[in-house]
Parts: sequence; C-alpha cells; structure tokens
Amino acid sequence: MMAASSYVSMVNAHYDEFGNPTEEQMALVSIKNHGNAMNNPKAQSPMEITVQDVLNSRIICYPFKMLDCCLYSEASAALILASEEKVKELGVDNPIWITGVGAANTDCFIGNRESMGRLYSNINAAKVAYKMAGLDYDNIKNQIDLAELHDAFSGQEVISYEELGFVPFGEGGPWIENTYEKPGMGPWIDGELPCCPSGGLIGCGHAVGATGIMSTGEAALQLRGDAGKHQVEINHGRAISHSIGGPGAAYAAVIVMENEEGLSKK
Amino acid sequence: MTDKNFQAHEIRDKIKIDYKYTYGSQSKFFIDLMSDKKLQGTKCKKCGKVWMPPRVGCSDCFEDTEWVELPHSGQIMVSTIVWYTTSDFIQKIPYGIAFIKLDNADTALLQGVFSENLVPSKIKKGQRVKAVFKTAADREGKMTDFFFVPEDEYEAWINQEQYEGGK
Repeated sequence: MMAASSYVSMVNAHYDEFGNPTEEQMALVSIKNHGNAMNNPKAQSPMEITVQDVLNSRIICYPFKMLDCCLYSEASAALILASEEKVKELGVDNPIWITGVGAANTDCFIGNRESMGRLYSNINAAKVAYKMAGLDYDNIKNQIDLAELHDAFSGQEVISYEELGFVPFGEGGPWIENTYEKPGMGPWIDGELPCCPSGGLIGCGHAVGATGIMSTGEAALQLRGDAGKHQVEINHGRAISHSIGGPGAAYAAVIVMENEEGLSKK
Repeated sequence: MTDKNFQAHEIRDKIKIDYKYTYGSQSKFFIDLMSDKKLQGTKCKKCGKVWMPPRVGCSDCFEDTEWVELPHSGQIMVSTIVWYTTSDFIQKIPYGIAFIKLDNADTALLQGVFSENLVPSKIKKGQRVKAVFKTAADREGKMTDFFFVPEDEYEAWINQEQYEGGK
C-alpha cells in the first residue's frame, strides 16, 4: 500500500462520515500551498494554479490527483536546540522557546481503527502539547499566529484542521472553501490562521524524515520575523508545527513554540 | 578526488539473489488459504475480539488468540481506486483496494476489489463483497491468491477459467 492510498483511505472515510473534503476543497489546499511556495525561495514546487488545474491533473488514487500530493524529495533540515540556561549564558538574541510538545500513536493498521476517518494520534498529540503550553484545545485558533502542518496530501491537511482543534469535526472542508479569497479568514496566508505559509510539504517537497524539522524551523523563522516574503503577521507570538509518520500515518507530533512576546502575554 | 581529471570507471554487472522468508506465526493463514481457500482469523481467548488479518496476540488486551475460520463475505468499510502504484502491480491499474470487514470479524482486512464496472460508487462503504480465489495451480500462499468482488458479480467471476469460488 502506497502512502497515497493509505492517506486516501482516511480521507475517503472522513468523506463518508461528513460529506467533505470534496475534490474542489482539496484542490484549494493545493492552490494555497503551491501558491505560498511562490514566496519561499527554498521550496521545490512553487506554482500558481487553479482548481481546474488540480482536478485535471493525473489521477493517483481516487480522489487524489497528482497536484493533491506532495513530491517525495531529498533535502535536509536542522534546528539548534539549547537549554534555557545555555540560551541565557550565550546571550542568544530573539530565541524561540518550545513550550509544548505532544506525541501520540494510534493503531498502525488502518483496518484496526474503529473510526477510520480520523487520526486520534493527531488529536491526542495536539491536546498534550497545548496543555503543556497552557493553551486551550477548543480555542487554539485564537491563540496562535500560524500552523505548519503535515500536508503530505491535500485532503489530510483538511482533516488536520479538525484534529488539531482549529474547527469542529466535519467543518474542515467548508472552512477552506468558504474563506477562499476572503482576506482575514480561513487557513490562507492572509487568513485568521495561516496554515503552511511556507508552502508546506505540497509546496516545499517532502524530504521524508526531515520535514518535521523543516516545519518546526519554518514556524521559528515566522516567530522571529525572519520568514522573508512569506512572513505572516505575528500578534500572539506563538505557532505550532505538526508532523505525521509511520505505517498508516499512526504517529503524530505537535510542537508549540513562542517568542519572548508570546511568553510575556500569558 | 579533487583532481579535475578524475574519471570513474564503471562496469555494468548483475547481482542475483535467491532468498526466502517466512510468515512466522501467521503462516497458517497463508497455508490454509493456499491449500483449502480458507480465510483464517484469530479470536482473543480473553475478550473474544476477532482479528482479521489475524493477530497472534490480541492488540487490545495482549492475551493469546486462537484460530477461527471466517466466512468469505463481508462489507467494504472504505475504498479507493488505484491509478499509480509500485512495479509489482502497475500492469493491473486501475484496480480497487478496500478495507473489508468479513462477517463475524471485528477488524478490517486490506485487499484488492475487482469489478466489471470499476467506479467509486460500485465499491463504496457498505458494499457487500465476496472472495474469489485463483485456481489451486496458481495459488502460492500469498495475499494475491484472492481478491474480492461485489456480491452481484460473484457468479460471473468464478465462472472464469482462471478463478474459482470458495467452499
């Protein structure tokens, strides 16, 4: 079973339960992330595309088309981690603090899951990370400035909106559709909660194993104001990164990061 | 290796490797599939949960399980149609794959679903399916020894020369 057919099983099960994400809603994720990558010089797949371009691209496994899928890539990413004491000793300017970490597993085999349309590992990892950072799962959308998600496939990003607490279950597809071309709303780069402003895995390429580090590094750049042309507005001083791995996408990790301003606001 | 005139000399060669592996404690599933067209699941001795694919130990309560033969019919839990795949299967695209819960089983098996009219609505959630097997001569004790078809196409499939129904 390929990664695409593994993820598509979850997306199709979600569709059976909630009637979304539709092919058009998934195409909007593709437009957003390929589009965001236009402003990221390190991205592999910057593209200005339309819904029709996505729908017309080669089918991979129903209903995923080629432009719904990230590209498998070869790349590296790195973070420099240090203890609070070391940061102070070295006098690091503008450090980004990791204030919440959550990791969780679910059944590796999708056939064992009672509810195939959602990843409980995402939900549990998010809840643990938010709690550690003193944040509220039910109000997280209003407490962070951006999220770098694991958008290996467009439909998976839509489901992640729900699992990570941005919108209630079943409302992920409508969230991106109803906010398209409405500044200040939705997961768009100028939206209420920009998701994958870097372009994510769809826009940047998926260097398996390095992407979680990439997403976390991207969120740190944003909080520092160093994201260049894809910089989003930082008001809370807080961001999350999210990564999935393992057979059946069973393993999930969520990291909450804050800059000095974010810490001082709590 | 910093020499600008360095040139690697390449020889084209071949490596041939014969090897075998076992299915370990799940071997019975494959042996009974190959020999008798049986679909063997396992049942937890403590909680009674029926696992298909079979699990030697119950993933819920970690107790031992025992073998239990399951019916050849079940229903689709979720499916997709594959148009791009690995080299082993690329000749067969498009084909359906689905998580199928056999009747009496508590978990779902991942297996190919074939149809004379392969459209998403034909293999959607809740569709009743039945197992079709390769003939004895073609069965190797592998997952590709059988596949599922929609129940209303079952007779047409098992009447083909290269396939047969279960017992």
